[in-house]
Amino acid sequence: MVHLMDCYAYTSRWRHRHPAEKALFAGGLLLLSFFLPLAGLLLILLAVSFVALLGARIPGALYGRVLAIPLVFILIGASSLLVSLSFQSGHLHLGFAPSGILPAITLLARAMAAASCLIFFSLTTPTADWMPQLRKLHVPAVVVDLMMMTYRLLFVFAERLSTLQQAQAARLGTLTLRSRIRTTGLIGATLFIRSLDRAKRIELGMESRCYNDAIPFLPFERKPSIPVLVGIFLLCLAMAGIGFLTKGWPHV
Amino acid sequence: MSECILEARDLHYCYPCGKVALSGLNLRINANRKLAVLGANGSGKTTLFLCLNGTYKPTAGSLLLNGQPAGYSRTDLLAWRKQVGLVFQDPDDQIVGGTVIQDIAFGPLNLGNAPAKARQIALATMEQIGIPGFADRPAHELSHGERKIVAMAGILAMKPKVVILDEPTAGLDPVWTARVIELLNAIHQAGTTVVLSTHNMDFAYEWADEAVILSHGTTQCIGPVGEVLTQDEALKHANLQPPLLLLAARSLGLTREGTPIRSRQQLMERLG
Repeated sequence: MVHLMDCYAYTSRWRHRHPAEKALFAGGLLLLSFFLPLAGLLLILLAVSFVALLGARIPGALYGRVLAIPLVFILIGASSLLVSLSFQSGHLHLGFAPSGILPAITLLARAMAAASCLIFFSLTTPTADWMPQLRKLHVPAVVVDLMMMTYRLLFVFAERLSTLQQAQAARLGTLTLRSRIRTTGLIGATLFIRSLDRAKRIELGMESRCYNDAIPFLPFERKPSIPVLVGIFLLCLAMAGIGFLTKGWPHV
Repeated sequence: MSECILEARDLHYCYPCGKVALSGLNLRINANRKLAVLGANGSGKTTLFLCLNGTYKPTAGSLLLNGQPAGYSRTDLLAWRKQVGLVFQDPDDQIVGGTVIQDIAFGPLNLGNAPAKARQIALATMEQIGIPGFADRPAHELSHGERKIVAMAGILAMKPKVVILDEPTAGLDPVWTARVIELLNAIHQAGTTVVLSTHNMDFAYEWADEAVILSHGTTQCIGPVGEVLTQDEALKHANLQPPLLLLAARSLGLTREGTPIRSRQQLMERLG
């Protein structure tokens, strides 16, 4: 699923919008979704989904599938608010708590609003696009380089891992539980040694290209559009305003 | 005698584990030539290449860059690698950028180019080697052949005088191999010295001007490719075989008259 999201992001219609624009939109609304009341949360969920589906044209099926992943966890968490536990006359009572309905719905909406912001961002902005931009935010080069290398090598090792697994399976290393445990251990050990080896060779590769303590920063091709940034900022302000005006809603 | 860009004199290299990879190797790389380095697995090709761009410092012996002994200070190495580019055999050892353009711009940026200039160089290099439109593709979604080409672009973008390629055609299908050869010929035409290692003797025979046979860390035989690859004893000693084209030409009695047969096409023409 993660790989699918990563793949999709590279082909997204909004790929070439500046990461800062998408980050401000998703990050601003994410921040608001931490403390806005219910009406504001629903509004955020609606706005983000609207922009994701109609603006960035993320396929509805993909967006829905990705959004459904956190939904499962959140439903389990929120449903615990509907249950009351009490201890009366020596007996444990498990009951339905009507007073928990509103908090449960609010929690659900809050989590889904926040999740939609993150999903919007990750489906429109590939990792390789936004990570280097962290340098603009004065994140130390060492941290950014480490993140970039991790991201790049993740795929190299994933490829290795699947080859190793296939090779072991081809030699019948996964027939019984016993052999499966042994195979997993062997694969782990091999992968570890290969990782060290790979690290050394990548270092040589980088040195050969005049690497000098930091991976140089290549800014995003376009500059962020100021009107768009201002527009997003105003949208966030408006959302915050609407959120606070509807603070007492719904009355219970 | 053409100008010698890079020269190795009595080069020795011994890995920390004690394995001797090079033992008294001598090699002259002449300007604007196509040199094929031939040798069995473990004969020291890769170690030699890593010495030739200053990545490994030889245990003994010396390297001369444009006739001057090469230095290993930071500035010396920067100037050295700017002139001598090394393309690794496994592109995953070399590609560090998340996207193709980030990776190709890595070298030019390290050389001190401004970001806008580096982007422009990267785009021009991609155009030149026939992968326009690759800029924003993620490195991990590329096929092996595409990754090899991107790795080459990463070096070519640094505009070296000498390009050294470690088995550029290994693991490629005929179509990608043909593209790589075409590319190598194009950069050679543009005035770059091209050095490569290969196990494909027919390719070496057809493509190279000069050849060198490596065996047990030393040069067995060096000279024009037509002379080197016809020395059966030296080849046998290095665990190599003569090119099939040469054997075919010999057994058909086509070696005596006319120009030597160096390509399939020439063989077909001679056979009518």
